[in-house]
Amino acid sequence: MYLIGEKLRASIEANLLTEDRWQVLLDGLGMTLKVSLLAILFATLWGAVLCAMRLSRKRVLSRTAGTYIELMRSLPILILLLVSFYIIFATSPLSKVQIAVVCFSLYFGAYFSEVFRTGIESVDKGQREAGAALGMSRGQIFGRIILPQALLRCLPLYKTQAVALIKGTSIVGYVSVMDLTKAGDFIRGRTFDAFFPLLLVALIYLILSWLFGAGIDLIERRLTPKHRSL
Amino acid sequence: MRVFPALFLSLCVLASSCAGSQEDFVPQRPEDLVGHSVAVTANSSIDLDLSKYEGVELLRIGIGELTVAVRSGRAEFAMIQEIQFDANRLRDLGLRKCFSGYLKGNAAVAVRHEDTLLCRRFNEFLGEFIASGERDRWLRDWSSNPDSMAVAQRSIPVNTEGETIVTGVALVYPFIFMKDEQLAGLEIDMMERFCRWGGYRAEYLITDLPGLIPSLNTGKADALVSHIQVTEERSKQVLFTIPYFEGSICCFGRNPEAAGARKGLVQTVRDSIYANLIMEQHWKLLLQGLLVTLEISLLSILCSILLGAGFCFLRMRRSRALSATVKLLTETIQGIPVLVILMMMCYVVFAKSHISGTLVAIFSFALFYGARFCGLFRSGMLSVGRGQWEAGAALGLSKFQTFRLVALPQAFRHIIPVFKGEIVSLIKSTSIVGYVAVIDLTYASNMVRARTFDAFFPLILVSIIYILLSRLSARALNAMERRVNSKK
Repeated sequence: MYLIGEKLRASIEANLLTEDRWQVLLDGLGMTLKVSLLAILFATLWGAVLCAMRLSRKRVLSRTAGTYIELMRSLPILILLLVSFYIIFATSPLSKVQIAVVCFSLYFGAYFSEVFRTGIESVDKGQREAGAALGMSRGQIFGRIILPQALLRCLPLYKTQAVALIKGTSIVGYVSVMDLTKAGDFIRGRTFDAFFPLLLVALIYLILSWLFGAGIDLIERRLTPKHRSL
Repeated sequence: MRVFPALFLSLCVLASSCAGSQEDFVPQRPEDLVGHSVAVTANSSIDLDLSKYEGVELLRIGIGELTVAVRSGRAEFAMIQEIQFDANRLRDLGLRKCFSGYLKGNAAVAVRHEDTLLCRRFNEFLGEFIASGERDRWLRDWSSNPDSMAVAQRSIPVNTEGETIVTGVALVYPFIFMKDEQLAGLEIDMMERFCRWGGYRAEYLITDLPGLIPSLNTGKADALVSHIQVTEERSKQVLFTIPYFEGSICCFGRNPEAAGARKGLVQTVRDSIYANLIMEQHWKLLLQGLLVTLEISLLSILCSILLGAGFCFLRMRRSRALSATVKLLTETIQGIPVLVILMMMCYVVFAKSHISGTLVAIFSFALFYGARFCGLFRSGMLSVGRGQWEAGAALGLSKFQTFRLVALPQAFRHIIPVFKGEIVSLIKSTSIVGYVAVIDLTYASNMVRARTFDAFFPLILVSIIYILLSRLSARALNAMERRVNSKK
C-alpha cells in the first residue's frame, strides 16, 4: 500500500508538478472546452438552417441540403480537418483553432440537422391538422405545436451527437491545436510515462461527457410537461 | 452517388486556387521568427527551444507534414535537419534555406540502461566506423543521392543469422524510408553494417517519433536507431552510445523568385498522378493502406457486434450486480474518445505484449463500438413487447426459440436505422489508427504526402475513397434493411 502511494506521488510529481505541467493540461482542457462549445453552438445553428432547407418545399434547397448532409456523413472528420487545414483554408487568415471550430461545425451541423429532422417528423400529422383547424398560421403551428414537441423528442439524440462532438475534438491535435489529448501527449513526450497522463486525460473526458449529458438530461426533465408541474 | 466525389473535388479546387501572395522576408536567426508562423515537429527539441521565444506562432505537426505546411501556405517557415533539406531536394520545389546551423546536436543509438553489453558493442563498432573514415563517406553518399544509395544498399546481403536485435525506427527521409516496400536509408544502412560486423540480425519495428523511447522502455525494442539527439532528460531514460551523426537544424521558407512558369492543368494533373501514385510504387502503399482499413473495419464490426451482444446479454440478466457492472463499464467506455482508448490500449494495456498495431486497433474499436451496440441492442430487445414472449411460451417454444424466432427479428428491424449509421461511423473513425503507427489508408496518404510534399492530390484521393467506401457500405446495409423488412 505504501509503495503504491509512493508511486502515485512520484507520478503526480513528474507528470503534473514539474515545470508546472498541470498548467499545460489545464490549458488543453480550456482549449477542448472552447472548441467543443463553440462548435456545438455553431453546429446547432447550422444544423437548424440545414434542417429547414432539407424540409423546404423547394426541390433545389432540399436536394442541396440532402447532398451536403450525405457528403459530410460519408467523410471521416480527420480527413475533413486535414483538407480544410492544408487545402481549403491553407492561405486564409483563419487561425488553426478557428479552422477546427469551422470544421466541426460544418461536420456536426449535418448530424444535428438529421437529429432535428427526425424530431420534427416524429410529431404526428394530426397535430398539424389540429392547429390548422384552430385557424393557426403555418408559423404559429410550427412555433407553438410542432417545435415544443419536436425539441423534446430530439434531445436524447442531440445529447449523443453533442457528446460525440466533444469526444471527436480529441483529433484536433493533428493540426497542432493544443487540446486536452495533445496536452496529455506533450506530457507523455516529456516524462515517457504512458500510464498516468493517458488515464488522467481519459478521466477528464469521462467527466466532461457525463457533465454535459447530465446537463441535457436536466433540460429534458425540465421541459417534460409531466415533470414541470411538480 | 457519383455526384459526391465530383462536388467535393470542385469545391477543393476552387478553394485552393485562391492562393495569397507573400512578402519577401528572410529570417536570419530564430529571434527573427517572432510574429511569423513556423512549422516544427511536435515535442522535438526544436519545439522546446522555439517555445522560449514569445510571439513565434508554432505549428506543431508530424514530421512528414512540415514541408507540406510550408508549400501549401499554412506556415511561413519550417525547421528540419539540414540533411533532410538537401536529400529531399527541397530547393527544386521552390523553397530556400533561410538560416542553418541552429541547435547543433549529436545523435546516437539508444539502448536500455541495463544493456551495457549491447552498448559496448555499438561503441566498438561506431569507433571503428568513425576512425576509418567510413562514416564520412557514408554520410556524404547518402546526403547527395539517397535514392541511388537505397538501390545500392539492396545489393548487399542482409545478415540473417545471429542474435536478433529489434530496432525501433521512425520513418523520416532520408534516415529511414520505404523504397519499393522495403526499408532503406542512412540509418538502416548503418544498422545493417553493424549487424554484419557483430554477427547480429536486425528486425525493425516502425513507430512514430514520440513512440520510440516508450517502445524501448517497455521492451518492445532492444535498440533505437532514429537519429535521436542526446539530451540530458533522455539520458535518464535510455543509455546512449557514442554519437555517430552531428545534426543541425535549418529553417526554410518559400522562395518567391522560384515561382517559375505555371504548368498547364493537364500537365499538372499528369505530374501529380506520376509523383503520388506511380513513383516509388506509391499506389501499392495506398492499396495496402486501403486493405488495412478494410481489414480493421470488417474485423472490428464483427467483434463489436459479438461483444455488444455479450454485453447486452449480461446487461439484461436479472442479477442486479452484474447488470449494474456492465452498465457502468459500457457507459465509461462511451464517455472516452475512441482516440484516447486507442492510445491507452497501445501504450498501457498492450504496451508490453508483441501483438501488432492492427490487432490493437481492432480491440479498441471492438470495445468502443461494442459498448455502443450494447445500448442499441438493449433498446431493440426492450422494444419487443412482453406479449410477444408470452405468445411464444403459449405456443410451446423454448425461451431460446422465442428469442431467435420471435424477438430477434423484431428487435433487429427496430434498430437497423441507427445500426447503419454506427457501422458507417465505425468505418470512418478507423482513419485515426495512424496515431499508433498503423499504416491505414489515411496514414498511407500521409506517407505519400511526406515524400511528394503535395498537399492536394493524396488528400483528395483518400477523401474520394472514403466517400465511396461509406456510400457503398451504406448501400449494402440498405439492401439488408430491405430484405429484413420484406420478410414481413
